Amino acid sequence: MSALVVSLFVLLALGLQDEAEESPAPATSEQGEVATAEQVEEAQGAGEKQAEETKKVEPVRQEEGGEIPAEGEAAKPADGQGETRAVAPAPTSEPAPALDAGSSDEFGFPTAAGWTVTGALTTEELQLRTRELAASSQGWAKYESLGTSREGRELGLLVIAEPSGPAGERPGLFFFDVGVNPDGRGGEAILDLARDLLAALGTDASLRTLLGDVTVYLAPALDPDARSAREGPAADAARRRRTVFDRNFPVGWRPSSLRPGAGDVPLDKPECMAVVQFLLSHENLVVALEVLSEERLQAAEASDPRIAVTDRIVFRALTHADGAESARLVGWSAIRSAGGGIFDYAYVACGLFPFGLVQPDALEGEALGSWFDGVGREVRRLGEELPRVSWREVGFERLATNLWQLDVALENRGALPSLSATARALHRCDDLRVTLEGARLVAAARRESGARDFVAVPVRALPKGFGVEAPHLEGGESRTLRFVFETAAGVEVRLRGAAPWVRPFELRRSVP
Amino acid sequence: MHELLTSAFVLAPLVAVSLAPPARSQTDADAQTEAPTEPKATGPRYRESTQAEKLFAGWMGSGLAEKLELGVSAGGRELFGIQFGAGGATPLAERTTFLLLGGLDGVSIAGSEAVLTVTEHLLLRPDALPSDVTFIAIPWANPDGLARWYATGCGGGRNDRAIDDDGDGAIDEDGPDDMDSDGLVLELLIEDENGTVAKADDGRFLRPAREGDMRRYLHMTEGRDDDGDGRYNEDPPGGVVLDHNFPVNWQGAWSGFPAGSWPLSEPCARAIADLAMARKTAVALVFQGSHGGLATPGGSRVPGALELPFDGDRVLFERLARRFSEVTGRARAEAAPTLYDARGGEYPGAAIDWLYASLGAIALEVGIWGPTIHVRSRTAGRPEADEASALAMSGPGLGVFSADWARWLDDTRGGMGFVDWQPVNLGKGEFGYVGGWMPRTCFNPPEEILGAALGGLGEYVLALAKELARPEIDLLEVARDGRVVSLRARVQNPTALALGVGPRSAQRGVGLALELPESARLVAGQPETRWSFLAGRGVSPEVHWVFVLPEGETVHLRLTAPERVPRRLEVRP
Repeated sequence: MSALVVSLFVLLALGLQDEAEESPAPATSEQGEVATAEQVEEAQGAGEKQAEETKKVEPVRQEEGGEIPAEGEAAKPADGQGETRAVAPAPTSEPAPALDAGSSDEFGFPTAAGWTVTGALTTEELQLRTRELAASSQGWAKYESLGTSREGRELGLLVIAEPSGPAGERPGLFFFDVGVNPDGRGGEAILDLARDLLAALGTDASLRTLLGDVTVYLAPALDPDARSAREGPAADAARRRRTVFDRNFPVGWRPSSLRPGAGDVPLDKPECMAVVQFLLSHENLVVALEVLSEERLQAAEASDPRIAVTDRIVFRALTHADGAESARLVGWSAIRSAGGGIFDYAYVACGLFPFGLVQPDALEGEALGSWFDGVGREVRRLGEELPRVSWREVGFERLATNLWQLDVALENRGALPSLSATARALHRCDDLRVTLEGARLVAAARRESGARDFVAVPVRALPKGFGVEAPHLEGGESRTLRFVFETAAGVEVRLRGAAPWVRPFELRRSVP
Repeated sequence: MHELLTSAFVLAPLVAVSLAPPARSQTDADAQTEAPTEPKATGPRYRESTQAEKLFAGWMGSGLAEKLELGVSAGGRELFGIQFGAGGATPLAERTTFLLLGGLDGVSIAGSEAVLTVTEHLLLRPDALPSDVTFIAIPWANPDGLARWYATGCGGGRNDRAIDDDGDGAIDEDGPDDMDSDGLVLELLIEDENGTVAKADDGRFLRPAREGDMRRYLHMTEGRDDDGDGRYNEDPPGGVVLDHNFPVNWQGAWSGFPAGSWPLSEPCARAIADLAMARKTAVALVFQGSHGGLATPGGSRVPGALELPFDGDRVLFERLARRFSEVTGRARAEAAPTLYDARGGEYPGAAIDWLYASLGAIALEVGIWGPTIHVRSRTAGRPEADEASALAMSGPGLGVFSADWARWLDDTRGGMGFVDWQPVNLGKGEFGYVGGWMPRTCFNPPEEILGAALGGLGEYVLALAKELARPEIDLLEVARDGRVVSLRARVQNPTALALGVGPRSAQRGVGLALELPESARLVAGQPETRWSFLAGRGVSPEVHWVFVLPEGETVHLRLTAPERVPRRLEVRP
């Protein structure tokens, strides 16, 4: 991580209050184990235990854009210690305050939002700030709705990408928090990350380059009802009995008679269905990243037979431990799953790489700020490891009249492959393919990195013309492709490469 | 179209069965012993879903049948269903429901015929129908898959959901073809060192490849590599087999099964599930398959799969299998096999697995057809030892192999019905072999012996409906000593089948509650007691209450049970 990057993630002044008591994290039963009603209640979030939590957004008076008062803040004793507690702001359906909207620096990049995240936010505050960031981003961030919850709350999504070109044609990183953990600060960390990313665009050229190569999808509360329920005493019995987000996905699902909270059928929780449809409709998603509590980690790495060997290598390569107070990145093979979770579906049914960012227990004060910084570093690091294929011409030769040979070197600069082993097995989407236009492709070959000879590869009729199925590229891998084609002199031929996990690329070559 | 194929798909003339109530009432005993009343003149014929309205018009004469609105399939075909039951005050929607599904696998057109036959059998016997049961019949539960099977004899049961199976951006571009122009789309073998099958000793049939096999084959439906990608039939027309689209042990595209993007993604599967959840579904029979008997829940054995059936229900399923043999005259099974065993391998996302494990219904697959049914009067030989384990492979729409099938083919059909493997040019210098079972041989019976396959099914359904658990309050003692009342009661089940099938929990079990007036006061005992299970012809533990009750007041005992109408008994101590 460069010093420049580190400088992006400004340490934030934090104003978290000590929590009056510790709340247990959601319990997850082992596979096949029958969970108890108590476990379900824990998984739903013990809302009343959260009631002491304060603070949220602090105005930043010095920054451009003016002072932004925290929404709905009221001096209302919460825990008998004279502290204040946030009151729900105006509904999100109302227009967002004119916060930084449209503001930009002299180069047209968005300026920093006029607030920083210093502690727990209500769900509505989270949604409101997410919308505000999109509105003030000069097109770098777009607010989208994945759908609505059972109680009518919106599942907000912030899509951050370089504005030119479709965001869906770049490899995507989906970073989310569900919101059921009473002690969780994942939503706040995601909002803080979004704010810092957008604020750094004006000064960080490498970040702008990165966001031209990848798309970051941020969802701070995928279960806004559960998140809201943890904010006050409204966690009544009916809410506790409702379907649990991470038990209602189809892979490894068990009926609620066996796993309380799993629902009568998978995906009967609208939030889960919305997420599944999002995953299925975005073939460019490479990584699903969730904020996790310590309880979700395996005691030892699981030998889940569903995890392909090469994918397991990727998980290990990217897993990173960085001190107790910083964010720790773990791969899915180290995350506990009883089945029916979002990661089960994301990996097994879609082929995404699931990762978790671990939030240490009892985060407060400066430790929370340090963790926010760690989250920012890890997300950026992960973003840089998405498949990023570069290519260059390494040879051009005339073989005969109107017959030419073009050699092109491909290199994956990311640590993640051009498609996971699971996604390849699913045939859900293409791996890398290259088509040639402006000439008749006669033959093609490829040479592995370090090899001397080329090996012929079949020329296929692809949906968009004739071409080759280019080699699958593992992280950091390079290959050379050879194309033999016929065309008249003076013609410009174009090689186009495409894959859902790789940003489309093109090489033009004028035939002399 | 080849003459053979043409003749195989001639639509049978509709046999409209008048279902006016019979003049004389029949006793239950009569109904159980009476022979089925399929039309004798022509025998049963395969009927398509396009005939549903005419059939329903005939059934209307009974005065018992109502049509259900269940929506349409992915291909726009109506999901036709009716409900019926004995006359009575309790609305059909509130009674215990007996679900009859035909051909959910999209292959078993005989399953559709079975549901139609059972429906007609029951409607002809209104006086024999239990008054507390509603029958719901959905003969063509997979309308798209069955329509394709009717029309082509292939398709693997997929519905009309357009899916890009191979992820190449094109949809349904590489499906089966009649490569040898014989009018049939059968099976294709391609020699490959990684092949999973080899030829059995009887060279017509296949077995799983073993170490040392010199020739191994890839086995698939007959067809070319239409899109030139080096694979065969990897993106055929249609998308999802509905009987892999249910939630329990569902496996998506990673498994290779056409199971949909998520469970209940398909409108017909969703409609059936919603209906089952909305009703008091106690029994669900899915008529399909060619294993010839009953199959219990338990279609998947992959690591992590929910193991079904639960141990506590094995005795129940054995009882049901024995009863099935008794009533239908089919060969007696030692025990009802699981769906995995009956189907010869992994069969994930099956409806009966969900109906059983999620709703607690007695859910079974009824294999209409099988190699021993048509020869049951003879000695139905068992497969040779070395073949018995190896040849029990099957899959919807592709390859059924067993020594029993070979025996059926040779003994009853003179070998007609199987096309020997013939070489075929695959292009690019490659060759394969085309052959296999002809339509209406092993997946569905030839039409002329359809009646034998359907025999006794109506009687079995009726017997099962009568034997359903019907818990009753058994009042043991009501004693008053001044203002103090002692009341003892229990729950008894006078019928043969147990209550509390599937995942056992007190919440889903039998409950007996004492309802006291405000003037009373409970001194001893719990207001409500619940049991997760009540055996067939069994009784619950005794419950004893002591309460203070003014003279002249009454109390009530309330009995609740899953999928049963609650009962309330007034007690005047």
